Amino acid sequence: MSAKSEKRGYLYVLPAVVLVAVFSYYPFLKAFVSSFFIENQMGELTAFAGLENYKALIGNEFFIQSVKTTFLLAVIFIPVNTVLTLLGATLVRRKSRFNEVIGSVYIIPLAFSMSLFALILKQILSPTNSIINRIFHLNVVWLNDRTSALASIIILCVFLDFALDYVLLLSAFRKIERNIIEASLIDGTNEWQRYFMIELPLIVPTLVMTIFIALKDILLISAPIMLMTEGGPFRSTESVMFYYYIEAFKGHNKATENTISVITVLFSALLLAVYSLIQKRRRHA
Amino acid sequence: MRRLKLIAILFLVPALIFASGSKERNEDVTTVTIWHSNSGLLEDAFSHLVDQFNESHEDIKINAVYQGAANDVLTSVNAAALAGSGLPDIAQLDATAGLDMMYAPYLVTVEELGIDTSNLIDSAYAAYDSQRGHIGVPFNASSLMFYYNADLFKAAGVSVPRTLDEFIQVAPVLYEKTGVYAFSGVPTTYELVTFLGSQNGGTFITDNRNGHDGVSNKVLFDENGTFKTFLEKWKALYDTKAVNNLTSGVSNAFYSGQCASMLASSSSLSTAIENTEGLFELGIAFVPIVNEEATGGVNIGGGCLAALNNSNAVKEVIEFMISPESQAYWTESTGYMPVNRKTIESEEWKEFIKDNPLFSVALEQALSSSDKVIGLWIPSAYQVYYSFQSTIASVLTDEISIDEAVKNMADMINANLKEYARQNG
Repeated sequence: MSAKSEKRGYLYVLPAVVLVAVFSYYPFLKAFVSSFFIENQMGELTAFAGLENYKALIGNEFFIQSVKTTFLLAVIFIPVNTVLTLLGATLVRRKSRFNEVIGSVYIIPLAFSMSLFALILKQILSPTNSIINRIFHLNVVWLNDRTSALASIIILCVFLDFALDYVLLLSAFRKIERNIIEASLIDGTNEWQRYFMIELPLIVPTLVMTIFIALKDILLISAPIMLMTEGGPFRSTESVMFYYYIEAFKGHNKATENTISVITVLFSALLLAVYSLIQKRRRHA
Repeated sequence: MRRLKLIAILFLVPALIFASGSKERNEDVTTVTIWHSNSGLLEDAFSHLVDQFNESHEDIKINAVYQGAANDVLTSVNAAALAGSGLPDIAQLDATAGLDMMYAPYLVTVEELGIDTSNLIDSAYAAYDSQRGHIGVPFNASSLMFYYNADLFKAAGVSVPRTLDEFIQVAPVLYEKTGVYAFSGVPTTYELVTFLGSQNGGTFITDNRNGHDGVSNKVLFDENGTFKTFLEKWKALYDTKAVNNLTSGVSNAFYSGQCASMLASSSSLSTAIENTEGLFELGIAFVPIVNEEATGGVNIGGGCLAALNNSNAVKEVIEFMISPESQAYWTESTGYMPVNRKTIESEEWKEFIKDNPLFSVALEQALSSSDKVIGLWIPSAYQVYYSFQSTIASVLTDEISIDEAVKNMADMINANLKEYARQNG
């Protein structure tokens, strides 16, 4: 590479670097420093607080509750989402006209805006006039009880993530080189063997990526909760980010704002490290 | 490199256009920007008032900007204040803004602005009283009301309860004879300001006059027993099994005839009339009182106009909005209650009330209320709202005792107050 084209390369990444620095790294550093100080509502640091802010956060039962809820959402959502999207991609991975039609249906959720679908789902599950209850002769007071409220959030999340994950997995399936499949055919493998021993292992990197995307979505989940349950009933469906939203934007609680920012960034960095490690080890294996 | 230049130009041109546009304004005209929270039906009525003002004033023009719900207006105001620029001249805010506005250096109190408030209804004006003066003038005033399905009450042969004791008698009869819940909903902050505040002729929920005279240091409802008194009555009501602990979709349940009554803001009256027309006869009454000593009435909620800029134009706009004529138009088209005594005395209003008797109930209740019953200005209001709701629900379903509930809520709010003091003290 010539010195000139190298310079140009830096020029091209410059806008991205500036944006990330201004909107991600600088605010993080600011929050990190502020999290050890008392910050008043006008944003002035008035006194050193040491770990007081973190102690106040850990001692807040609603924060602990939100961590538990986020964990619960992750534990349920990620397997459900992974199995469903994998199933979808598996079923239509071979090219045929019928599969193209089904495949297009799978992508439709991408065309919906999240808030639009959330509001429709909210109407479908409305406590008094639920269509779902009428069709299936159920008597569930959706959104008015913790379990069903969490379930409705997970339904929304699966719907929102399905299309993207499906596209990723499908392209991974279709990228598998024909000659590998053909070689296995010559060896006399059956359909199941081919799927579980050849195709599936080959798409694992993409599968790991979709799992981590799902993990990221749950870690940062707030808008679906805002729209579906507003954290209710009785503050039982608040995620960490939703809790952050009400503390920072509704309550102007600077201490919670700074400490949660720091904890979330550090936790995300940890997840990213785990992800890199997994992908690296796979490559060397 | 040529391509880079082209891209740079493509980015710069629109930037220049945006930067240079919209600056052509007549210098003799003062623009007053209002951030408001009126949508739908309310926005139409508000726009009408704005147009009326703009047509009749050569030198002042109102620029009305919708910012979302009242709480969103507050979020925008706080954000603009932190950014140091872009504050509007007037903001339409509600009680949740009280704490922030009391300490906001940019707020111009009603006294500083010099607005004549002698015609304002006392309890409506008192809602915005703070240690540094009134943070705003009431504009869209409303209060808690008891909405009921008159057809169901007639079918059960019972009368509208005046006290919670009467409600405890009436509820099971309603449930038995009509098969629908007598009441839906779980009381929380809004209802409690009335249920606790009205006791003993008017009681404060936290010290420093519910936080109006500076941030509260502690709650009072545990020491003065008002929360316990209320919980005992409400538990007895719930134990009749005629109450449904619904936390969302309460008004829909009421409109579709799945419960016989609900507590809601008087500002929902127009919507309620629209939604129940042809379905059943809608009734509206005073909020049932906790006991015979609970004579304080209700607190006036809704919203106020807060001045964030001290000028004659701002003063003129606010005076126009609370004038007898504007308030008459505004209340008749929205269902809010008039804040101006002159409006109530006018022939037009008397005529209107004759045709729309339901609209007078909220006003009667407000006029008979003590100005000691005022909104709660505390930090973390949102969190407190949901904590009250969940704590009361736990009492009803026998998960915790009434004494535990009082203690839990007092501890929770006191902890919030302490945390606020730690950060801002």
